[in-house]
Amino acid sequence: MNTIFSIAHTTLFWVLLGSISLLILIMLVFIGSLIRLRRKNERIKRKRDALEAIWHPYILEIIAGNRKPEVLWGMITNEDAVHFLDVLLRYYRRFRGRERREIINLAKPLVPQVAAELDNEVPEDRAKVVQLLGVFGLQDHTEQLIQALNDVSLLVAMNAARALARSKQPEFGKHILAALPRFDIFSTNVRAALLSECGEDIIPLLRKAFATSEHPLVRRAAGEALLELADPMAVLMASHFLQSETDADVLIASLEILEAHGRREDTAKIHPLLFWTDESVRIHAAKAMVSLATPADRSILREIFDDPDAWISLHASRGLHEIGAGNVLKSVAESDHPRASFALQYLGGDSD
Amino acid sequence: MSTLSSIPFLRILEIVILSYFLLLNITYLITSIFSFRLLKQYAARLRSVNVEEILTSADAPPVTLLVPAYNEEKNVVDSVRAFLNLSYPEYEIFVINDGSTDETLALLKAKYNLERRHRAAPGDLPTEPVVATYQSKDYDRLWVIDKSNGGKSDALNAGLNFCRTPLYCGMDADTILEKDALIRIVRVFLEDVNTIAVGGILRVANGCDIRHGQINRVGMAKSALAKFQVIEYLRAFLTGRVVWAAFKGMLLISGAFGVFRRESVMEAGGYASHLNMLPTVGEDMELVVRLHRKCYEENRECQVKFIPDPVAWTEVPENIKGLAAQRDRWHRGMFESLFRHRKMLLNKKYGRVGMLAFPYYFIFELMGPLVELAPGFAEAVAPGGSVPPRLGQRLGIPQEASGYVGRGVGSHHRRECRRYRGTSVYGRISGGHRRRHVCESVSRTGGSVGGERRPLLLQTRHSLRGPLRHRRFTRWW
Repeated sequence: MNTIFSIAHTTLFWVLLGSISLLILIMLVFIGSLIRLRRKNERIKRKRDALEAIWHPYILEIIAGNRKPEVLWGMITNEDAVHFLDVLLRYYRRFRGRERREIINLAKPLVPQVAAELDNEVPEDRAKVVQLLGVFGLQDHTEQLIQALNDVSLLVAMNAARALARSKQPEFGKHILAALPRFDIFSTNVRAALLSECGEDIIPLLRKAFATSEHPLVRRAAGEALLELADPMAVLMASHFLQSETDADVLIASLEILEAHGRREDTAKIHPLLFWTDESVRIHAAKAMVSLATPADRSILREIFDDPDAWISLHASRGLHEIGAGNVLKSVAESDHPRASFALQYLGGDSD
Repeated sequence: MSTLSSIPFLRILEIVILSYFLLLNITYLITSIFSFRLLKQYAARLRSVNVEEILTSADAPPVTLLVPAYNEEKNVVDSVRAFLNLSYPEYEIFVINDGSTDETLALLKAKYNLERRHRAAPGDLPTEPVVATYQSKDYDRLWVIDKSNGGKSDALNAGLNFCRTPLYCGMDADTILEKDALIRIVRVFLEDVNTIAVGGILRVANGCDIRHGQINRVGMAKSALAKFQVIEYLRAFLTGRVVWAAFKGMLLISGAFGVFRRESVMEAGGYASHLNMLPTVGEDMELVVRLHRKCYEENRECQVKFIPDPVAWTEVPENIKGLAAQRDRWHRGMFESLFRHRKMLLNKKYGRVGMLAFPYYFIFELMGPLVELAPGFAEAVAPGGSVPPRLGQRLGIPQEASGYVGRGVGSHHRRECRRYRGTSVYGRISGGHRRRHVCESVSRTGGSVGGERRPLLLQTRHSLRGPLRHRRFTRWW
């Protein structure tokens, strides 16, 4: 028995020792490759720093108009094209007006070389190329950027959408709107900002999307973009949707528009939504109601103060304060209402 | 009889310990390789987006900084000054004075011109009574909530009740945030609506030149113990958390710096305190585990993420006593969190968290100290009180190997984050890899390395003691 145990133990021990040796070997290989990679990266960094040091005075002189860009073009190899445009991007962000145009002009001949990198397998590299094309080569590489909206990588697609939106050309709007459902993982703010970035010329398209898109998320983003672009027609649309729509996203976008630009007569349409089943709709309805309320609405504001959601109570308190219903707030603050402290805040009281 | 039975036992123990360390180091190696790839990918991703542009164009959501403070008179004024100077469009700062017995509140009142002002609390988490709320006359965004003492969790819950922003950042009063840390961390919430919590990298501030609550110059800690913790933090954050987050199994976001979606935390019941559920000293880990559990049970897609980019700095203990107390607390917190949610262990219903992260934490993080003490135990039971020499020698092998993984981590950091500039400083970090076990042992591996054995065993003992004493006290500061 002892012999069997001893043999098993010894075998197991050597198996373990072998595994450990193998592990150490793998670790050594890993560390070796890390060191090699680090050296390589440092070499690349040194080279790039040196190149930037050479380019820097030329770039400044070209931007100032003291030198012709041809001087620098001759110095850039194919291999350094992406790096050069990346350096120019930094200058581009710092300057405006004529200087910016000089920078775009300086980048121009190198853009085709960078565009060729769109076939790169690494999504992050493609995203970088799209970012550079969006700034320096939009006009000549529009098709590639539109195609990039369908790139398998969401990062690349979003960079392409941003580049197209920044151009403020309405014809890109339909492509961005078509790609928008892909960006459902992004926050509504990001989607709406993307659309509003396209500029006022996209408003007709946005109205259409707000009214008829089959994706509620697109409708909400379009509605919020219309709000950011301060479209007066959006107010009428939003007012209409409060009665005709039931989707929470559409209702929220509509309520946000009415909160900012609504009219007194819209309060009647907002009223049923104050008692909607969806909590987020109720909160937005309360905010819209508060922004449009007059002293005549004190009873409805007092009523929604008792909503199960604390945020609605808080908005109602603000509304009561803004319409000058201090006596209502005071009676709540002096009562044993569980949210009496909400009223107290707007009465300017101290904490107990 | 005793001699006969102890020899096969020692042999089995020897195999068990060797296997344990082999497995542990394989895990380290795998996480190092993965994290290498992930960090590289992250750096490339960061180069291809303009973070500021995204945030300014997309109305960055407002954030509340929750800063619980208990007897923080030394740091609180400078810390708040630094928090007021963060680069972020819209944020509020709530300093929650948890019944401090020193001059914390008086200093805040004097330095920031605080005025007593009522503020309604929309949240309804049970907490110790709030005595008063104050707002700074000089800085609208600064509020101080003065409440009766109830511990850190209770203070955070009080802050959550007053919080009105969709996101909040939980932190310690002595945490130093880099100016753009919030901008960078909030981006993750904009890019993925399923994100409910994001952790950022926490770095060791010892040795850095700190002025007015901001890092003026990054430097290396002077004491050996702090240096080891520098490596430990790098390993924990740059390999461990990066990889666990990518595997969707991150169980811990440090209480010193993490941003959460307020609504998700409120729905989960806030931090575990003595008033709302069984309290724990590891409220940060317990909350993240509970958030995971809730998401799985409600079949909701939730993401707990980690990004190695935003940096918060914190002071680490420089003496054994302080370190022991900290590790005692950490280990107890981990034990309580894992034990409370033990239902998740190897339970398919909880996906990768139950099948991967929980077993890892149970075996390597929680059981670590037991295995560390095994040689000592063997020594005690061995005939004549001496352990066979082979055992000690063999145990050294895998531990030494893990030291090299530590070196890899140093390289990762050097490559990706470049905070410690200058070869000499880096050399001082990576040169410490051989003695990294000391720092590692503090959290897990332990073992004996030359003359370091005594403090190591001390740390292991404290890590082990934590879970054993978990019922004794449940509030901490």
